[in-house]
Amino acid sequence: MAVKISEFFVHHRHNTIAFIMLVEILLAVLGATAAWYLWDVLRMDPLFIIFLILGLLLAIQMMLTPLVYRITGHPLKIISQAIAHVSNDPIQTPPPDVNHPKYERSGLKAMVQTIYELAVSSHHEATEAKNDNSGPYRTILNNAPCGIVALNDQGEVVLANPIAPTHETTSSGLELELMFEQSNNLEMWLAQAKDTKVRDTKVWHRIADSIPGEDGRRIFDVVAYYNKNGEQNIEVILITIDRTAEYAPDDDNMDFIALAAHELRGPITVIRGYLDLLDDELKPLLQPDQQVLMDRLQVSAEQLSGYINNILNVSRYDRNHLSLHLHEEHLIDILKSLAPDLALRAKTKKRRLIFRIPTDLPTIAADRSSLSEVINNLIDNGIKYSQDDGEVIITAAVKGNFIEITVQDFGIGIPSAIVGNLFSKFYRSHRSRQQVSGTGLGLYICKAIIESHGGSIWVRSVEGEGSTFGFTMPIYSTVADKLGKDDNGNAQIIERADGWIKNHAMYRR
Amino acid sequence: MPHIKQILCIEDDLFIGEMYRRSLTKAGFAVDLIASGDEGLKAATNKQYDLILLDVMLPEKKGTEILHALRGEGKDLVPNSRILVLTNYDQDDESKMAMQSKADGYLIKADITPRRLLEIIYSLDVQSTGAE
Repeated sequence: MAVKISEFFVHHRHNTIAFIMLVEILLAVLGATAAWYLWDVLRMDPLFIIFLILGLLLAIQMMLTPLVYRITGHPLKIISQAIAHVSNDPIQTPPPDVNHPKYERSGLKAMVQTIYELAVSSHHEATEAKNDNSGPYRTILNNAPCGIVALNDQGEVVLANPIAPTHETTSSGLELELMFEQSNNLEMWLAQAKDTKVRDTKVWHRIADSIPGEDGRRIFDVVAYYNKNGEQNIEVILITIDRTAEYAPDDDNMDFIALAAHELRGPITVIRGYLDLLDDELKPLLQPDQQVLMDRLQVSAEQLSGYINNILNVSRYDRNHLSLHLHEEHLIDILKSLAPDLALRAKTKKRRLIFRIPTDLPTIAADRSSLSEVINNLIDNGIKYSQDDGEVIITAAVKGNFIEITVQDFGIGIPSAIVGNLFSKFYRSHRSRQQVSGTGLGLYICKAIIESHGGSIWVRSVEGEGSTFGFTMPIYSTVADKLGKDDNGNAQIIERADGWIKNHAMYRR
Repeated sequence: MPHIKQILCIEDDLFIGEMYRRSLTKAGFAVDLIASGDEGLKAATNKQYDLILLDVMLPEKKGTEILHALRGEGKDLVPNSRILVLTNYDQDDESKMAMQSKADGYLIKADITPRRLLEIIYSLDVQSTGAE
């Protein structure tokens, strides 16, 4: 039967004393027998006999010492091993093997198991003590006006205060609840910081904890501090500042604009569509002057849909939601798809469009629909601000790593004093307000779109002689590598571009 | 892929639906026009269509749900159909990308006329039959 833990020592002491006494008795008997034999039978010298027996006993005792240790000291060795195993010693000691039945009988196995149980429960207590909900630090954390989250070197949340955007996972740990942009997220920054930095800081703006439309959606500015050798294995501290009150109305506006656009686009689709049907079906019946009216209707309806696209894009751009997906495109294909509508617009306004596009241009990296809007806007401007029978000339040519596209008109031109303001939102010259209709959003969004491609836009104008607008688009082969890394997003190109766009928040998406 | 002949148009705006039906029928296609999401999904799975024109903002079932039911989670209930999403709603980028990945085209209705739609359908036809 196994010995109880409480009796282990008594049992072991008895065993040890008994074993040592047995050995001593054995030695005494052996010594006495040998003395008798040497004295009585061999008649040897008594002094010699004493030395001989003492030497013999000493030798035997030395030989027996390891055995004595093995019996008496072995439990101490096993217990030491078990304690070393559960200690925080950096040198990992393997656990002792106590599976032999003799350990179970002697109670040693139960002792070792008790050591393990004590170690596990004390670890729990230590962890609980760490997460103690009392104490001034915890009070400060619980009442802090911003979220505070600590991450360990594995990127796991080890501490978060109640208002931090985290949620419990199934394994009862905590997980961050922040929807970073794919191209600029916490993991990417952290991976880079780990590779190259000892300390680093990073700020993100407008990071939401859930998708739009969710109840209780919060939007944060997030500050992250990285410290490679942080205490208690805490590598990253995140501070989240709830900016929902400032940011949410923007998103609501965005939703409103998207909904309003949807409502407006419905009737425009019908007007454009039915005009298109009627134009097709009535063509043989219409008098030339009636056809002109029909064309004007079509052009106006088409302009309306263009304005709505501009409003949507400006709204997205202002809220950092304009994202482009650049693909390899032939400029000539894009122009061809726009040509019929543009030609009709020119015809109804009595302008002549002249395309001078070389057929052997390299392909460009462009977001087709956005670039179409730029071309539409610039050619529209050329048509608007020139006179009857005026020419609007569109050219394209290779310029270094870019293709430069220009739109030239020979109209009223722009006074040099206001050229600098042309690309501002809602900017329209005093005179053009009186003469020509428009929203003042066209050039603003053109600049945003072109710079989001990594290109640039410019204007040259002489008042009374006309204006030339030009912009550049990257040649596909020069940016193909960068696009590949970014799932065809434009972030890499924007980073490379010079000027204000580099620090503009738009490249976050 | 067979040449495009049978077209299902799921569109709740009667004016827009009629417009597409008129222009497509005149061009020689057979068009079924359905105005609700539920009915549209049923029609798409019950009958073989070569092309499905799918609106997004639909009653009962949204276009996103129909597209997911037809081509979500790795399955494809309409392997012989092409799907063109036609919407006027300015979706957020994630939803738009998700739809684009499952459909054969994604168009803003206000930006295209019936004649332009025909051109796009012809080009789809050339692409898919040319690839055979």
